[in-house]
Parts: sequence; structure tokens; C-alpha cells
Amino acid sequence: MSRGFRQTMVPAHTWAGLTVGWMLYFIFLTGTAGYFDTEIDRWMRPEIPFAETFPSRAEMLMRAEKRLGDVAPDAHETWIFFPDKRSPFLEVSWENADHVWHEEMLDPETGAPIRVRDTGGGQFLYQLHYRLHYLPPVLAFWLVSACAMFMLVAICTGVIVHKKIFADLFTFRPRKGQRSWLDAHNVLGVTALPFHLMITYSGLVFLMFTTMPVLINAFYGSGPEGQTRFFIDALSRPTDSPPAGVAAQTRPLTEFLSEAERRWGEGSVRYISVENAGDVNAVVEVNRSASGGLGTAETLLFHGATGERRGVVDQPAGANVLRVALLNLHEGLFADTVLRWLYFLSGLAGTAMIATGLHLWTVKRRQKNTSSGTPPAIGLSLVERLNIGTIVGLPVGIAAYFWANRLLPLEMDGRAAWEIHTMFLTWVATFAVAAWRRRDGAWLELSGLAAAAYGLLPVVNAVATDRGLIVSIARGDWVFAAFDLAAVAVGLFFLLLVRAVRRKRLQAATGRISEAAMEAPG
Amino acid sequence: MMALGALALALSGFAALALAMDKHHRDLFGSPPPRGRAIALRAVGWVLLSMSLAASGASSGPSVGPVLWCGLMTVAAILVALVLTYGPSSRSRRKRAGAKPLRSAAGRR
Repeated sequence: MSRGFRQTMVPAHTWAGLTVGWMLYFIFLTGTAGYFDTEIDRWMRPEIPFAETFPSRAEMLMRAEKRLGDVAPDAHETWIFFPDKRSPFLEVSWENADHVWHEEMLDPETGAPIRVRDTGGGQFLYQLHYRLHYLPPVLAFWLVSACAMFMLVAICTGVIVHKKIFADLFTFRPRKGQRSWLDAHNVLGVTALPFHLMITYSGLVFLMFTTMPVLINAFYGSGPEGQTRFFIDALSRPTDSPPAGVAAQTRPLTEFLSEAERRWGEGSVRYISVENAGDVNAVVEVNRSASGGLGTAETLLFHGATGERRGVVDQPAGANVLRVALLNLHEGLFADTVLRWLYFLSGLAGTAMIATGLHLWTVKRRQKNTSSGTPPAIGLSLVERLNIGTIVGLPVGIAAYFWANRLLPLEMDGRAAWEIHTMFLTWVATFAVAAWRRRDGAWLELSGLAAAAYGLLPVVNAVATDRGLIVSIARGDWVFAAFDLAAVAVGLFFLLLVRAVRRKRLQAATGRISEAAMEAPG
Repeated sequence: MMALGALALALSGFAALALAMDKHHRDLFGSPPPRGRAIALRAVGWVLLSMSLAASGASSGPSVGPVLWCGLMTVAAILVALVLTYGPSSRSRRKRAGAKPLRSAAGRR
């Protein structure tokens, strides 16, 4: 590869990374948290009791049906989700004739509804990385797709630009300023390169129906009817059969459950749903829990009134196999605990790669400024401030979200919304600090704040709930214990950052003093 | 358990690949590896990494296995880099580096 080619890639890498770097950091960090969405959901809903073993599916089905009979006798559609290790509760949801969805969590042992606090949970953090919360969905999808495209450019050019990434695979030289940041950027980039490429590319595939509508419109038409037809084809969903208006008793759900369990083994059903119960066109759907791979979990379809098998929901075919495999790779829902942690760590590596890249841009230019003695350009100051407010400010905002979950009054109106507002208000406040304070001061204060916010989270949890770290460890509740311990680890990380910034400041100060001493006439 | 074995294989594989590099071999043994040893280390490294892939496959099947392997390789490579940077040998190296000027000062005297 000629030297000239590499040189031409440098601006592409720099500017593709810088222009959307802050958005990418946001997307990567919240998406990474999303790998533990279900676990964060549980921590944020401490009312759900800890459980590891569950009654048989048949018993739980009975309890769920009883509850649905009480609260939703005329529901047009009902779903029953069975518990598993990650989500240890029974869940029922139903759609009334007015097309409003309701959902309720039930105790698997008693069938009694669990009154949980109103919270966005880990689901909110996970959805944030493509929904961007306050924006309209289509705009958010476009923005996230554009950022992902920039990311793909930055990754590919990065492999070319950083010419020694494979030779320097294991090289990290600490305490050498710009050199160290570059080493860290390279090591984080290259060691998790398969993850970075996979997550970015599959992210684009996720949103392609929004960003590449031309082909769909050409074959299906751009009207709502054509779009519906397309999605039925693309997502392998069976066509909805509308109720015939002829009453017919739906067979007891236990029959469908036992048929599915005969096929897959006991305890392997994830959900059972019924559409148009009591109608001659009733449809019962039974879904298998883990697919154990990159494919789709099998779903059985039955005629509700006769109990006859209608077939299996089509497995994806053709190009769709690849699409589904990519989406599954992105979401990692098949992952067991070990693999989930590896996904999480790879995500953190990506987040840190983006952060070091952003920081590197400022370090390089700051150094030039210092050596030439010119004041920093406005662009440099702006990027430095945005870096502080994003790299440290966003984690502070997320910590505020967790604090709000524990401290906002339980009966508050719009509680879940206010958790989210707390997060964004805090984040905006950190930008204000970053803009207001001196550069080193802002790094120091915000890192200190982040260290305290995460380090104290287990304390807040222990005070506000009866599920503190010690209790969790004693009863072997590793989801709660791991959340608290992870918070402490994040706190320690920011403490290290505080230490590093102070050391740098000290060095700079002594450097100035010795310079002054040399210049002083003596 | 099999995943742990796959991690151990990936760690030792990357360690061998690192030792095959002049820089890291010099850091640990004071000189770049002889040609034969470098080739042997590189071969051993790749064999161990392939064995790690096989172990990942045995642990999680043919479709999820490679995913597990990629994740384990990320962790293993970062761990090897950290050990080379902060591990015991790097500390003695820094000490040696610190001792140098003293010796040269003694030589001048």
C-alpha cells in the first residue's frame, strides 16, 4: 500500500470520527448498558422477589389465566410470558377491544400481581441507543444510521491510517501523553475489531427498512397497505386472521402447552398468546424460549377452536437468514452469562476507543499550540468542552437516572418520565460545568462527581430498599450484587481518572515552575 | 468450563505471538528472538488460537462458538497487553532502565 493512499485516508478517519464522535459515544455507551437491560430492569424494580426455581409451566399457566379472566375477560388478544433465570416473574399482557395494551407482572408462586414502581428500567437505556428518546422515531433512526455509516468509515479508514495496529497489537506505553492515548486507541480498536465491525454493520442492517425505502417502494408501493404487505413478507409473520364473529369455545391452553412441551421438553416454552379467544378464528401461538443459536426460535401455531396445528411460523429464508443472523448477533439475546459479559466488555472497548479518539484529537492540537505558544483556536476549546461534557457527563447523567429510580417518591405522577428528565437535566448541567470551569478543573470535578455518584450507588440502594449488597450476596442474588459491584467498579475507574488528571496537573505546574526558575535572571 | 479452557488457550496463544515480536522478546529476554524461535513461537501461537476456536465451538456449538471466540480473543489480547505493560518483567525492566545512567556515570569516573 502506497504512502500516499494512507495519507489520503487520514482526514477521512479524523473527520468521520470527530463530527459524530459524541453521538457515537452516546450510542455505544447506552447500547452497551443495553446488553444487561433485563438485569438493570430487575435492579430498578426491586419489588420483584428474588427467585431461582419456578413452579411447573402448567401451574403458572393456570394462575396467569385466572388473573387474565379477572382483569381482562373481553381481551381481544392475550399473552402469557413464563419466567426464566433472567426475568423471574410471570408476565401477562392483553389488548382490549379499544386497542389499548396493558401488562402486569405476577408472582409465579401465587399468581398475585406485583406492584412495581413506575420506571423506564434498563429497557429505556437500551432503547435510547437507537430511539434517542426526545426525538421522533424516524428522525432518530436516520440520525443513528448516519452515525453508524460514519463509524463504518472511521473503522475501515482506521485500519489503514493506524499503520502499525497489528504490529503494535500488545503495545501500550503509559504516561507518555499523546503516545499513550494513541496506543490505547489502537489496542482498544484492534482487539475488539470483529465486534466493532459487526455491531456497526448490523446496526445499519437493523435500520435499513427506514433508510433504504426505494426498493421496498418499488416492489410493494409506498402506501400503507404495501408497507404492511412488505413487513408480513420480510418478518415472516403469518397474516392476521380477523375474528369471524362466530362464537366457538377455545380449547384449554394446557393442551397447547403440553403439545409444545412434548415437542421441545418441559420448561422450554417462553410464551403462549391467544388472538380472538372464543371466536371460531381463534389463533394460539406457542414460542420456544432460547433458540441456542443465531437462528429464530421456533413458534407453533394452532387453531384455537379445534386445537389443530396450523403449522410452524416460517423460519426466515434466503437473504432473510443472513439478516436475522446479523440482528441476533447485534442483540446477543442468545448469549449466556459468560458471553453476555464478553459482549458488554467489547462494547466498553468500543466506547473507550471512541473516547480516546476524541481526546486524541484535542491532545494533538493542544500540544501544537503549547509548543508554538499560540492561544488555542475556538474549535479546539469547543471540542475539549464537548469531550468533557460527553465522556464524563453522560456517565454522570446515567448515574443520576439510577439515583432517581431509588429516590423519587414511589407514588409520584409521571415517575418514569421524571427519572429520564433527571438524567438529561443532569447531563445538561455537566455541559454547563464543562463550559464554565477551567479545562483541568472540569475534568477533575466531573470525574470526582462520577466517582462519587457510582461509588455511593450501593449505599443508596441499601438505604432505600431491603436489597443491599450484603443481603444480595448472602442469598446468592447475583444480579443485584453484580449491579452494585459494577457501580463500585465504575466509581473506582473515575477515581483513577481523577488521580491521573491531578498528576498531570502537578507535572504541568512543576514544569512551569522549573521553566520560570530557568528564565529568572540569576 | 470449556469457555475457561478456550480463554486459557487464547491467552497462551497471544502470549506466544507477542513473544515472537522483536519488541516484546527484547523487553523480556534482552534481545530479539533468533529467527527459528520467532517462527516456532508464531506457529505455536496460531495453533493455540485455533485450538481456542475449537474449544469455543465445543463449548457453544458451531454458530455461537465463533462469537464466543471473538469475545475471548478481545479479552485475552487486552490482558496480554496489560501484562506486558504492567507485569513483573516490565517493572524489573523499568528498574534496569533506571539503573543505566548510574552505571554510565560510574564508567565515566
